[in-house]
Amino acid sequence: MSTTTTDLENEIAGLTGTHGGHDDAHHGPQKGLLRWVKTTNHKDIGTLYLWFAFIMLLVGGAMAMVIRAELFQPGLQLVEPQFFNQMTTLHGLIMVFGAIMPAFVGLANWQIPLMIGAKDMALPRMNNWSFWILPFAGAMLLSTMFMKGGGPAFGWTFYAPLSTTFAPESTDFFIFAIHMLGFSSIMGAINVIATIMNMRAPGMKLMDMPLFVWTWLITAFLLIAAMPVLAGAVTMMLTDRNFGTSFFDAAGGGDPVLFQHIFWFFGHPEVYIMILPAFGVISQIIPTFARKPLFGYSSMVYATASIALLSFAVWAHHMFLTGMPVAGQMYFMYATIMISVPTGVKVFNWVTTMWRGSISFETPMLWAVAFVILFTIGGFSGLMLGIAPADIQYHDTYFVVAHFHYVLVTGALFSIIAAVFYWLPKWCGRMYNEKLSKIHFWWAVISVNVLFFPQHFLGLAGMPRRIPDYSLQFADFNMISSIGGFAFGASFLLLTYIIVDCIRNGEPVKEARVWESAKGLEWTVPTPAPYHTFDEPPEKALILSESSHIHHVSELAGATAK
Amino acid sequence: MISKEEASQMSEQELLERQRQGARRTATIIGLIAFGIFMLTLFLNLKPS
Repeated sequence: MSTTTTDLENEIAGLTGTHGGHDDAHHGPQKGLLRWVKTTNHKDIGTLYLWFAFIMLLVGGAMAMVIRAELFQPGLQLVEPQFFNQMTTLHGLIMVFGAIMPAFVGLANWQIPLMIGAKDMALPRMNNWSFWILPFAGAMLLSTMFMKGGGPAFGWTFYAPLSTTFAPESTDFFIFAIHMLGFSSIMGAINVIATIMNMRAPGMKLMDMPLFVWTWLITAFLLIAAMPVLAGAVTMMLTDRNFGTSFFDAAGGGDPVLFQHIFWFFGHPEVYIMILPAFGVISQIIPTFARKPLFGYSSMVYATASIALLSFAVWAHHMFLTGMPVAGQMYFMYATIMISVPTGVKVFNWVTTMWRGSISFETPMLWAVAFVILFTIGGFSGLMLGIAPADIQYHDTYFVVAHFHYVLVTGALFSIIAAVFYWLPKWCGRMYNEKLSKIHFWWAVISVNVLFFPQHFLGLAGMPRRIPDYSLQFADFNMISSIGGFAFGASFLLLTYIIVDCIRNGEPVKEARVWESAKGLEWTVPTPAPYHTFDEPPEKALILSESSHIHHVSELAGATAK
Repeated sequence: MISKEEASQMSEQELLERQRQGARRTATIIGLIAFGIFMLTLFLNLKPS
């Protein structure tokens, strides 16, 4: 393989016979470690993203264990308060930017070209670059812990002036890491948009695309609109800290509340960046195991787009306590509550897809059903937080911690685990251990509720977040929560074993369609998915017959005729 | 996106080249939009001294 050309260029060169006189377009991957450094293949890069995300999940999870161990009992037991603050800050940053977002980009890399009948991502070289920025940015972020003054300890929201005037020296490295992570995300989003808009199989219309592709297209636009705002915020932090500007310094005519506005103008869409692809994953899995077409496909697309648009109009519901006018509170409260309408449409459609279906509960379906139930709990507590007068009570308490962990752990993370179990046999050509996987599912799902559900009660009773010590009345629920946390953390050791065991020793799968009722172009390629797929673009009839939202043969015939 | 009628008259090589040409154009436009949003964020927060 040439080291300076991409797979697609090789493909073109192979077709014209200009690549050293031989057609090497159908070779396999390069051998050795360099394969992973230089690869431009979407499957390789997807695998790299997923493993990186998994490692970061374990690192961020270890930090969560430190937090829960310290909170096991009242009083200071294990760590200094400053270190505790570093743990909460880095845990949040690593989970958001290092685990959840890269995992979804990994799924996008693997699945989008397979689902739209494309040979690869549109910009393979940029794809390689956007991945390889990540390990360096992640390492830089982690290295701040070992610097003079310690790592960032101002929370993942890095509000000024904590992150400017009163922050440790390592904050400049944190800023650089955020810049790099943002740059990587923007490049990934550009690639997703360029791929979906240009590389779809001829004849595949936008409304023929699987829901996972749709949700990722909308997510990519969210990334393009939100990440540069974050980059702007950290750039202003950088100049405030080092070049004498006063964007966020009241003493110089700036405004610290301005930082919160800018941060949440990025931060709220960021929440949807982490949950919209999860909606796509669940919309792929439920029809497969309910053995029914997805109910309300077009309403799902419009609901996703509505959620994305509304996400830019609700940011100040995170700031009800900053002293905004009542009219502002009313607007942001109603706008926030309005998001529950398209989200409700989605939950309704998933339930209706399952209604009277021939449901079987293989592991991916178990995770998908758990997602629907538990994400809805997170959504409801979000509604409670969106009500301005109630939020004055809940703000900065453990109720908020419980809410966003129900959304991001039992929502985003559960969907990623569901996706891995759903597509892993297609990726590696081996089946995971179903019995162990179900044990793991019940272990994780019970322990995660023991971990996060009591935090609602702690918050309602008034326990503030981001504290290493607390009053005695919070002791019992904290101990229960910590026990759940240790059990949930340990469940990931079993998950690691299940995945590694599947890849190395799993029973070989030969069927292209691993799940008998699965629909989608990815199930038409051999198992395991070959290194190069869709040399010939799929025909329109195949695209339509593999659609998970076409109900009847007559509808299929009508669509083909169009 | 290329229609199936157009695609049927193209060779595999022409199809790929056409798709990648479109992809480069899309990427340039989206990249410029992202840079524009970054600059706008900074510009809107600058105050005349």
